[in-house]
Amino acid sequence: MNDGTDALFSVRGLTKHYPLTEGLLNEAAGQVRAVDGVGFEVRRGETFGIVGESGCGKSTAATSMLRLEEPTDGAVFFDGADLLEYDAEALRRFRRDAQMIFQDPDSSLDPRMSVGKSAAEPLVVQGMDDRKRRRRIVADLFERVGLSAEDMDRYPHEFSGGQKQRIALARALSVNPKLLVADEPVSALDVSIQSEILRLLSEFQSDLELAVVLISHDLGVVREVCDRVAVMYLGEFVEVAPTETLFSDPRHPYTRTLLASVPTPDPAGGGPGTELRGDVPDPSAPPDGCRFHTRCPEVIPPEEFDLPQSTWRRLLEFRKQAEQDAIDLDGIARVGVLENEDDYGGLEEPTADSVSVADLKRWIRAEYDLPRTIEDERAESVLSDALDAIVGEGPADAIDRLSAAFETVCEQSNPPLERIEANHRAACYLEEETRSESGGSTGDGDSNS
Amino acid sequence: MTGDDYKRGATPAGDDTDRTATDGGAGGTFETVEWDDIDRAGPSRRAEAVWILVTAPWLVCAVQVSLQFLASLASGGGGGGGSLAPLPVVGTVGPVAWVGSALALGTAYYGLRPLRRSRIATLWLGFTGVWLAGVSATAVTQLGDESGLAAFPLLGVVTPVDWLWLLTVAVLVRYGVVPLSSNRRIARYYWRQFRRNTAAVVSAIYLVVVFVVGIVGARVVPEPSPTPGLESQPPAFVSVPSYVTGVDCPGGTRMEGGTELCQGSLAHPFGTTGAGEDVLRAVIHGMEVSMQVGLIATLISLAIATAVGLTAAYYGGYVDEVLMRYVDIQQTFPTLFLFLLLAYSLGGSLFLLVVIFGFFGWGNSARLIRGEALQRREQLYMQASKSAGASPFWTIRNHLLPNVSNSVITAATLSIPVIIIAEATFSFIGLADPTIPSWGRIISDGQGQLRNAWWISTIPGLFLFCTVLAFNFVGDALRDALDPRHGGEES
Repeated sequence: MNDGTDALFSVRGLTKHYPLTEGLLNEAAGQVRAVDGVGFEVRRGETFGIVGESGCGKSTAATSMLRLEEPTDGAVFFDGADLLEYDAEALRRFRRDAQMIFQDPDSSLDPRMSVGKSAAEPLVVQGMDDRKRRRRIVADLFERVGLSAEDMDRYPHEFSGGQKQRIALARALSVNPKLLVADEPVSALDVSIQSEILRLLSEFQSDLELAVVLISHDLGVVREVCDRVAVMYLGEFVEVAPTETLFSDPRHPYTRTLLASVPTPDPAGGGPGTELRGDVPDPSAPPDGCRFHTRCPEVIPPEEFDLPQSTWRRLLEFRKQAEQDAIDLDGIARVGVLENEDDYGGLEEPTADSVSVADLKRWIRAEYDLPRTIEDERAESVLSDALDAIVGEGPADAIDRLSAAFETVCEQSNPPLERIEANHRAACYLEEETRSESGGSTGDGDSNS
Repeated sequence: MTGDDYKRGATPAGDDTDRTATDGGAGGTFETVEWDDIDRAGPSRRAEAVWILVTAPWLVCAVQVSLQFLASLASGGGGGGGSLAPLPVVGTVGPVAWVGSALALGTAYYGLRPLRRSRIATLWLGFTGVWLAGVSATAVTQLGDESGLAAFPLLGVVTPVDWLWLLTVAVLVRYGVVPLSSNRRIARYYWRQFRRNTAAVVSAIYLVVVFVVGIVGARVVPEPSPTPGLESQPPAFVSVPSYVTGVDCPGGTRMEGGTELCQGSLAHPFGTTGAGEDVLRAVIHGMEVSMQVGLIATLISLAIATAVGLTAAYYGGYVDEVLMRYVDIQQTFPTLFLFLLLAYSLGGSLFLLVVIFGFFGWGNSARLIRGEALQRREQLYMQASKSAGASPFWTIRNHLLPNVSNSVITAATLSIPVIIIAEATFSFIGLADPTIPSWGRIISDGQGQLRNAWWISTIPGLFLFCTVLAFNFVGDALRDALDPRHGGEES
């Protein structure tokens, strides 16, 4: 991929699918595509952030890249060797160089083991059987992370969350690793303690020349400590960039909405105020094309129409509903009748057939936030034809009309993660458009249709 | 009173920020670790284990033989030195072989030193070596020739049940007494939780007495034997008509209302059985039998249940499926019935009973432990252990097992009384070895004379009742003391 020659840790096409099974015989019924082809590299002394909503596959990526879970596919290079080829013994040795910090310090320390023993565990399992030496190393680390050596004989429940995360940090550092993967290291902690832990982390990171992969849903955390950031959505990276570039010049609509969702202290500078609608799609059935297009506020309209983005977004949602046969005409009629007592006062059990066609069509538009008339005449005629079809002969015809007219490049094929400038990559057709407009070189035919 | 005492004196939680000023930071050098050297030391650690496993039984044999040798010197007089006692399987070992093996072990030690195991681990490994060597010697002689069980120079014959009993007591010490005494703070905390239940404290004292008297008393007090003339003597301070008892009456007789009464004596404080056996002695030997059966069979069954339950929970999938379906199948076949079958064909013995209950009675415990382990499996410390590079066995042994120890102890306290009752039942209906002075056998002996000589059945029955009840009380209290959901602080 990139200039991966001096990278300490390089992940390529990492994929983790969980099989969905059903029935007595565990028949395969599909796959949850938790991580779907993720790639990056980290150099010594660099902090690489992965940010995304919960459920996007960040944690699975973390455990898969360290082979705590077996990845389905991909390659993970550490110091030039592919650790997916390692046997158990080589993997054990690899863990001397790569350690992990977990999200929940309450659960990551064994309640039945003194914290000193927990922190010394990597040393023990790596074969250091000199107890005095282990104690010396752990006591030293305890002092370094801001605890005292006497704390070693205490048990986890005697510590606060922040202290536990310090112990977890001491455990991870006990074998003097080169790589540290931190999965949401501060999200379970109070805000006041978060910055202390982050400060500690970055202090060790710079002094020990650690390569750090930091996974978080919190953009503030990422911005504070990371050199480069990848934005993850539904198991894929949608944008990778140096932190400052990403925050100042986000290129992917998802990144932009994420950034916009961060509360700003300045009420005037609230940004465009776009917000994400809907839920993260089911990772066992990710949307075709760009995985974000179902929620994207900047989904690309067909060229022949001249539509405001909000109208286009709603037209697309209306089309999806029609395709899924999810337009409940009777329901819409019931709601409409309730809201128009004057016209339909006497109607007891209203159905789609018992109200006038014109009203029904108007109510459908209201239901899906569609304007009464769309300014673009061609779009308006497609929509009203489709509405006629829905009210009349049924949705099949309407779907054909809508699909033929309102089709976006975003749903046809998944945009690749392409380089925009040095170190900045994003997976969005908008980027290709801007580049081809400005005489850029790449771009497959789809993006200009 | 709550469990907060345990917390007291610890670092107060929540004062995170005021301590950060003291953190040493990353400055300065970290201790460098030469992992290659440590990897190279791995084989020598295994060699050390082998050395301990061999040396410990060698030492035990050497001590036995030399003591025997000194004894024979002393008793043999000036007849030109004593003789070396033969060891089972290997026979008589000559002086040259003793010196040679001592030199070999010494040289090996020179190469291995210093031993890197802790003292407790070394002792435990040594015990394992002695136990394994002893059991194999016993097994080889038992199976190999007709001369019966192996006789050791000083110890004499050690029966299979004795070997298991030795192991059980050693395990109780190693995994019960040693951890509690080395971690006083935790021990005090558990004790504070435990003592809230007065009935359980009384029960625990009773059980300790029964356990100690059973172990020591049964070795010191001779086995009860039928004594003609002393049949059906009443307990001390009780008198019964003379026609009930045998011809002798050590407590003396007196007349009351025209009937001659035989008075109980302190020579037989609990009276005697219909065959003239002393009931007190029978009760003491019965304590050993009950404790042996209950604890050995529970140890075996829990060892298997824990191994199966934890393996099933840790690996999940097909491993889980196969193991648990096997448990289902085994559960359909009642242990009692299996014992009946084998007791008829092989003859009932204590060893058979222990083996049957140990090897076929673990199904319920395995389910219980698996259920608990499934929850623990999802905890992050399991993953943290893996990311430290630990093997599945290490993780199961050091994280999963300690965290399901509540369930293991619960299963044990459920299992012990059941097995004790079962043993008494078999003895009662005459299916067990009739030479063993079990409580059940004495109860059965006395049931025909319940009207005239009530003490024969009642006294061992009372002990049986109290023992079972005490195990249940202690089990309840332990469950509460160890379970975080009952006000404990482990969470």
